[in-house]
Amino acid sequence: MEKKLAVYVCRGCDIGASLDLDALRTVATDEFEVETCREHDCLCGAAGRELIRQDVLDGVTTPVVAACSPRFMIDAFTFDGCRTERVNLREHVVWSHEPNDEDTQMLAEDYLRMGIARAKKAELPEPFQADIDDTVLVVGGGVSGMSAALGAARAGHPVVLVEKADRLGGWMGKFARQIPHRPPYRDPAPSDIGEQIAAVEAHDRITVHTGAAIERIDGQPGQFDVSLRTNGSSTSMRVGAIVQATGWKPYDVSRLGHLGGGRHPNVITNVMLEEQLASGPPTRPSDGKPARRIAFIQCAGSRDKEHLPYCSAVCCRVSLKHALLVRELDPECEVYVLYKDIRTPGQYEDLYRHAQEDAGIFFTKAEVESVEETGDHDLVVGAKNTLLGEDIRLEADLVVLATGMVPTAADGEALRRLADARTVIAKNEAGAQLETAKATAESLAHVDGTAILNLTYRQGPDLPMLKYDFPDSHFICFPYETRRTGIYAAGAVRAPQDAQLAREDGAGAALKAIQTLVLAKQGAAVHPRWGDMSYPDFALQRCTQCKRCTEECPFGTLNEDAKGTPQPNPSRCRRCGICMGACPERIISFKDYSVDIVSSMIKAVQIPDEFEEKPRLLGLLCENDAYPALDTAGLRRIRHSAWIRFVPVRCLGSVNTVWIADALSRGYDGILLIGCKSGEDYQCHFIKGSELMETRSGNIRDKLKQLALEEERVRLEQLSIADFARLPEIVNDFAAQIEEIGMNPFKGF
Amino acid sequence: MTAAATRDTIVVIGGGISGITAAIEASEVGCDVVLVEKEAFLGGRVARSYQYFPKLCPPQCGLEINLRRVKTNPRIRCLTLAEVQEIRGSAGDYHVTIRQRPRYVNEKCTVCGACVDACPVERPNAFNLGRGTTKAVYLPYEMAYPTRLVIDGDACLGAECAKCVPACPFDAIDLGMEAETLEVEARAVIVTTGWDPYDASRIEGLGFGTSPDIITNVMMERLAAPNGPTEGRIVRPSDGEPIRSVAFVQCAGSRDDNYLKHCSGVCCMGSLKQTRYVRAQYPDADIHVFYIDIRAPGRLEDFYAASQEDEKLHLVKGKVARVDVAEDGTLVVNAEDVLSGTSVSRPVDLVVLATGIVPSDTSGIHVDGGLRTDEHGFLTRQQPQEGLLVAGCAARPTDVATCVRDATGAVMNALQFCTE
Amino acid sequence: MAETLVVRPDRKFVEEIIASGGGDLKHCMQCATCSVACELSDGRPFPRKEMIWAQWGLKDHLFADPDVWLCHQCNDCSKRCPRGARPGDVLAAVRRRTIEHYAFPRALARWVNRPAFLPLLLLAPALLLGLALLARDPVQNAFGFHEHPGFYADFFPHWLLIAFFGFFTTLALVVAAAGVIRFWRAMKAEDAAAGGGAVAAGILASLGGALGSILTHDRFGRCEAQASRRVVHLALFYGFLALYVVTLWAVVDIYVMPALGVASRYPFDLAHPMKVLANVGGVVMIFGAAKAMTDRRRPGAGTPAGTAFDWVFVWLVMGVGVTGFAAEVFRFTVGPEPGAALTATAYAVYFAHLVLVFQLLVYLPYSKFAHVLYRTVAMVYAERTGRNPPARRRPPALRAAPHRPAVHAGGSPPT
Repeated sequence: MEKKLAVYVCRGCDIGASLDLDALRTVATDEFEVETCREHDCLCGAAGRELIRQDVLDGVTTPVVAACSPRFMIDAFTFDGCRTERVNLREHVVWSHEPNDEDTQMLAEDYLRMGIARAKKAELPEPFQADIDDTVLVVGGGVSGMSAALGAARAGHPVVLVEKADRLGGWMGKFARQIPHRPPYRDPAPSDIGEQIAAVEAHDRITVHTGAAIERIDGQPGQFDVSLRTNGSSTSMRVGAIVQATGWKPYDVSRLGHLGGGRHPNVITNVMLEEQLASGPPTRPSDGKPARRIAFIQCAGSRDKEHLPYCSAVCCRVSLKHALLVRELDPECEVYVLYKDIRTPGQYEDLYRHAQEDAGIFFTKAEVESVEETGDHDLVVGAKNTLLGEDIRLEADLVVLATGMVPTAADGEALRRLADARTVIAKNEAGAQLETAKATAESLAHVDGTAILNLTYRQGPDLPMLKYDFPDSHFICFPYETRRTGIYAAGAVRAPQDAQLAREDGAGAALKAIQTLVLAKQGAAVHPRWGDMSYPDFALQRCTQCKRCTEECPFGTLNEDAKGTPQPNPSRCRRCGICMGACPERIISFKDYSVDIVSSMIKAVQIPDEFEEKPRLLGLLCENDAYPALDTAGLRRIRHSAWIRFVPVRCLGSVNTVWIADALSRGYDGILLIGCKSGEDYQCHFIKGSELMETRSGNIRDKLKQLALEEERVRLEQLSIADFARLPEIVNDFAAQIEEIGMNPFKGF
Repeated sequence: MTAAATRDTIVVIGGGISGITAAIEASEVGCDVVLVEKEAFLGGRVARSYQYFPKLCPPQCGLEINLRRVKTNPRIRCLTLAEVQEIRGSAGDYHVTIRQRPRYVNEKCTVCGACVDACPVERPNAFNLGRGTTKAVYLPYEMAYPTRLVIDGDACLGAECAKCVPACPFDAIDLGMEAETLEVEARAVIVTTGWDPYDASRIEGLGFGTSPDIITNVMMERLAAPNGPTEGRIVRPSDGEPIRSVAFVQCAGSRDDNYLKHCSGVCCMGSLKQTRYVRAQYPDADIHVFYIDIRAPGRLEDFYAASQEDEKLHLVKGKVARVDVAEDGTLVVNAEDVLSGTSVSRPVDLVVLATGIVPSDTSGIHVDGGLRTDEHGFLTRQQPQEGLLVAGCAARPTDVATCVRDATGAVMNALQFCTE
Repeated sequence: MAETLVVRPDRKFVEEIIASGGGDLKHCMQCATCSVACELSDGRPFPRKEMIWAQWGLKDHLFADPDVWLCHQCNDCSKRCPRGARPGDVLAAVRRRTIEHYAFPRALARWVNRPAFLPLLLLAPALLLGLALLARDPVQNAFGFHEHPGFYADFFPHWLLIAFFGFFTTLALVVAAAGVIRFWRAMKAEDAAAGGGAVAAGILASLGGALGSILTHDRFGRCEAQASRRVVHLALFYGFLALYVVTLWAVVDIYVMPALGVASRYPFDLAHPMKVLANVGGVVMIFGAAKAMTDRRRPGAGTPAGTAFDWVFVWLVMGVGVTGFAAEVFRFTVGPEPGAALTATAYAVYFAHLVLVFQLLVYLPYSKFAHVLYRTVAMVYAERTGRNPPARRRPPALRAAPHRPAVHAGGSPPT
């Protein structure tokens, strides 16, 4: 269907009163020869919408609505089969600038030009279509894995559950009692793992593979091809999405020598005690005699820079459970708990309170300094800074180290770096590269063979790590955010947690897995660009195999063929456009977002010649945080310089440096790039968009040098959505600076 | 099974972060969702917070994304100023009765604000916990969704004033609007009614209410927020003066048989976070945190460890038992530093009480068999009705990330009643 | 760490404390609210430190701790404790155990504080007094003297009572002294071990300071939760003191005054100042005992947990008071030629009175009454080592000011 634009200008919300709408109309009618250009007092109202709908019926395919911010009135301006272009005259023009002012008018006209330019080139996306398999693969048969499997199966999905041990249950399968997770939260509760295992085994939609490992996983959401190795024989299958619930392992006690770990027979871990208690009262490993004085050392290896810097979150409650259990099994037994902080959040405080009530359980905060043997493997614990007001030595028959949780996950990115290094070494071309490769191979030797999922992803065979080897989400609001679309980590592998949380976590991960399938079926993106039907198109004939796109994609979307040509996997894609920003050949584009579209928007702006004393600034701002912040500033009627022209980008990482070159050669006097916070606490929704922009700004500086322009003409800023008051200040400050520097000498060329 | 097929309706009670998440997650697997929120806007407690720990990022950032998903998702029906009165039926076949209070502003509103200029009535700013005022017709806050003004029925002078009606160019104000009662059929109901801060004035000895400079942690969030009563400047409420020293009083009501027996789970991290607010504005301020145990589970320990690097942040193990207010208004917090065994009497400019989390009252929701709560008043996970699922702080005091996971898991469990 | 001490947690002791009225001891989570709530802590980790010592059964610390005795169980701490651990009651239990610890023979201390043993314990003085009375006539005839006729004296001659009580109370005092000295040494040793305990005041000055405090009950005055306890204790203290003085004066009047050429006026008539003092004292003491009983029954967090240890003592005081008055009534109402029956009853009442007095005085080192000595000694020690709280640090009065209107009002503008 042939494209037909129509422009609609709203007079409401101060727009009509602040602008010369006739002049504005001529921009559309004369400059762009748009036939239809209408005004209305309230476009979002029923009458206004009807006005547009009628034109749509008469063949308009692309209404350009110049009214309020595209963040509002979304339904009102959505018309079937149309791509509505929104021009933000309200928040970004009349609410944030002097009404009926020459500069404000110019701003409005430029925004309309940019809108029309975009409308002309942007197309309504057609979704990527593929056959989607509904099966959910769950890796790990512990509490969280089984919870995920049951959830997905009960929701009607086939489930494949893979467990490397020869039985389901994981750690909980070994434990007699669990932390109470329902009221009253006072006593250790009997383990209910048996019922869960039975439910899994009974469910006809769940196929269980025990004693199984994953050989490889190819493909993308909805189309993962998995090959399993089960006691020698290999089976392959197709699944749609994956939940990794591979759980945890206890911290290596032999590394806790300062606490007697691995040195004294009667120093054991909480896990070893757990196994003892499953069969009866605690005894001394050295002689099998009953242990009557048991000292629990909390945070053994946890909250410790030398070992695990994090808190393992469960050890306090586990030790309280053990203390109560020990007293129940042997009333003659005394239990001493030496802690840093007792951490029993929420209703679990009741468990602590209940353990305290027992006359045979003794608590004190303490810094344990030593665990020594006296005769006959008796132990003495030395501790300082106790609440008893003195340093103490405590005699014990048995010392239990409350060791922490270590995730059972592989560092995909490390494995990838190791593989890359080894290929370089294999080539064996002398040079600095070889040396660094050797160094890398050496430093990463320990990750060799740790792969679990064995994904055939360019960016590595497993999920990337966040911190401390946990493949966790970095986002507080989006804890299931994953950098491998369709693959979700759940349970203790993701973060240290107890069985109850793991149970809930598994269910949540299963839902996200199902969601990926639902959306993949529609060819739509998952969070954060939920429902986006566009996907990157690669003009591969022009590809130079520079591999920037495959390297820089935060989601490991792209694989490479032997030559290094990118292989798109649209269902893995999150539509951030970072590949588009990375590509020096500009061969990557989306139907409604491309280098060309943005370039034409930039070029649509009318640049006054240098004698008019009206600088023009280009603002490329992140549409997730900076754009809403600017709307809020408008809502609060905070003014900013009318010299700037803002172009929203999906992510600062999608900014292609060619835009900056274009802008400068077009005569823009300065360019302001506004993205989200980068660094350890990054807020970029696409992980490293603004970080990539920082590295790319290096090239930009070179570009400026080539053009003999001042570096200050390009400024990179980071702000959060809450910085609505700061944003106008930044703009005004930048405007002032550019005024100082003077006009861009390339004007008019 | 065709995944895109509608899975019928789920009702979500409570439009805080848990409820919003539950609604979105359910809608994005193909469920129709009715999201019921008693306030005039979505966002609940997080909308009132300045930053999240440990990233110190603004909640509005995630809300923006979530609200965009709500705005653009036709499967979500969002009812604000609404409360569930009754849930009849059983899992897979519920009839939910919802009462919606009048907003007096219809969908024609464009938040242009003409009515606000016309309105003669001022009311305390509820969003800022009573500090500052708004007109009787107001926008709760900049990013409020629905993006529509609301009229405070109690403050509005009604028909005899009605100055706003002609002021509105879009005929969006309808003072005659009345409460409505709706019936919704649902396969499952997810209860995410969240929490309220504990009433600090009930705590003996901590002096809340005797000096404006003794505030609660939730008030501190507003004080630090750029859209708060002081545009984010942390100053002494009594006189607007800068702060040289501040004391954070942990377990103000929590872990206390006289008030809340449970640990509120998040106050330690909350206060450590708020010490950063203060530090960001006052590089030299003395900050004192009085605690019993610092509870920073998992990776949050990093944040605690980093806090310990701050030389002017004094972490004192010992509960504050008394805050004295001298005649001249000076505040003195009294505690024992149990690690040194010495008593501490610290004069400070500002006292922040880390008040605890109280589960919101759900007694107004009538259900066959009732909603089951534990001795602390939180809803138990196992409800008599298996189609009633509980998530977030309605079930236990916890942080945002856990609430979100929880809500997502609840949707998974709800789905089993939705598949045909 | 070789020099640091080996702690040996003592579960039995913990259980004893729990059984002796410290039932909620284990709830303590060491938040130290009590140390702030306590008006006597004076910057010391008191009673928080005592609580964890008790939780761990570190009795040696507690037996050598003067602070335990500076507490008057006002229960300000118990009222505020977030865990309901009732430190005030725990300290009372610790004091009881301390008395038992220093008593000799220790077993006797255990019996004295068990109601079950009460009949037996009352029987003992009854028998002893009975034997003494049997020996009365033989002795009198042997020495051929019969003196000081009087209503009771005819049956209970003064020489006999004086000898009888003189002997046993001296015995009790010796035993008590032994315990008190060991207590004093323990306190010194504990302080020395901690590198403290330097002498801050002379022994006389310390004694003076302690007595001053006792006579005024100034520390009691600091309690908030249980203000009435001060009144009660003042009544019991001065009531008992009055009666004790009168008794001593009687001895002086009977034996010393004649020697000085002043005729003995004993038995005193009602108008005699000593008699007046005695009656007033008696009334005050009974009032004190009665109020103590009602107070201890009053519900409320501040109310101390009454144990047999406390009740036995209060009832004893009450008993002494009541029987004393009863005996007095008989003395003044019975005519010159009383019937045998009436006389017998009067004598029986007086006999009971004497038995109870014996119970009160002679069992002193083992009963709650021992606090008279231990608390005094602890206070003297406190004065001597300068750990005594100075006059009350009054916290600035809380000003019930309404919230002032906030500055920077305006809130988030609607548009």
